[in-house]
Amino acid sequence: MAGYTLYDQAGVTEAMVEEFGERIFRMSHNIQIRIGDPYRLKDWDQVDAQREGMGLTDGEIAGKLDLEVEQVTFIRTLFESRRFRTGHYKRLYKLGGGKRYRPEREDGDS
Amino acid sequence: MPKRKRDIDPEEAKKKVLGYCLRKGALVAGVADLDAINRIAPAGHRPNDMMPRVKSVISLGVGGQTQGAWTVPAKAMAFFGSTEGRAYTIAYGLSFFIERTFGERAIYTPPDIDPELGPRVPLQSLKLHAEMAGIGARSLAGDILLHPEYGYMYFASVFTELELPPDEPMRENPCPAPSCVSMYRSTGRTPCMKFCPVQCLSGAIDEDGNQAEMNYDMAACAEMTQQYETISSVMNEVMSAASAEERESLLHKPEHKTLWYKMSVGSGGLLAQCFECMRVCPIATQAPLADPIRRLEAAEDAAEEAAE
Repeated sequence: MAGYTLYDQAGVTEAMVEEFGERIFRMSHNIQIRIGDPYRLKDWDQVDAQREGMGLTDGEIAGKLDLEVEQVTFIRTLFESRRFRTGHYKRLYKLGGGKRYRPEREDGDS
Repeated sequence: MPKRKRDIDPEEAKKKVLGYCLRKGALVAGVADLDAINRIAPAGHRPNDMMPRVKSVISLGVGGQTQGAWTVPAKAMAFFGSTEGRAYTIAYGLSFFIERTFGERAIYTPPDIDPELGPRVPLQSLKLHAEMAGIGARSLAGDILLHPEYGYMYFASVFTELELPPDEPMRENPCPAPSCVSMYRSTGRTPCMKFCPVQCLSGAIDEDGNQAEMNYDMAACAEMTQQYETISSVMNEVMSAASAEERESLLHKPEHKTLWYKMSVGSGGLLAQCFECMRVCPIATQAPLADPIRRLEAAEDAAEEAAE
């Protein structure tokens, strides 16, 4: 259908990406924080308490933000792509063979 | 598939299953507690989401490259550093072994991404399976699993309707190593944190020398380790180029052309391309049996002792 975009199919607007993108990204498992070692220790209280820190699923995020799962998936994956810095990979070309990463060697390759 | 065997002794079956893994080259193998996995994994990513009548999750680990591999330039390591294919081969064979030997359904668990959710969400967490099977513990390096004897390994899983008694997770976590604790106490960082090329790791170690907090920016790590994600970004840049000349130069940049090469030679050239946190990890590189040659020597010594 002419003019019917993937945004329309997902029920998402660019304004929604701007409003929710960063929050969804941070609530997802793109950013992970683990306190202690709860899985290995089967510390179920801590496993439950740390679900948000270790990253929520799109369905869990949708419930918290009152969005549809498809909207969260669309925004999350779009936001992941927009944040993805293709220039960072070339840092690897300078490493190994005795050379380790030093931030002062980088030249604004983001 | 043969008919289901009657009167299978779960303990005997487990010995045969794990014995198969070790004979085929796995360094370690174990059975994960299915209830624990279900308690931790989110809905949609539990073993019974893939195999409805699954009763057991078997996890196995294989070793990495030679010691020499840790010394090569990162751009070379990116092509041959990972050895996960060996783990997958053993798991694939194990699934057939179980069906043939016990007449119970089994599957090689695909280590792949969930196609509905993009490249950062796996169908199943092989890491969780291995951790619950007691063959690795989460490290400060983005939860990469480490083993006190074998260091850094690659894991694969098999799901089966064969009932097997589960193992427990490891009692101790080898991470952080004593030298990492010392460095953390003097600088506030461990080697993996300091030398990550995108600074995706941070965390804390408590007074007893145990992990207190692990912070992992997986999105930053993905820029170094999931190069298949680069392809759509590059294509977007190319299509948005301001001029034909700019489009041409973007398409033909050496590293962009290399992406097509990597796609043509297969996943080994596209996955897990950055090893910098493991390269400086004393457990990954210097665990007693991390070196494949030392493993062989230890096995030969053990065989000699047994013969005497």
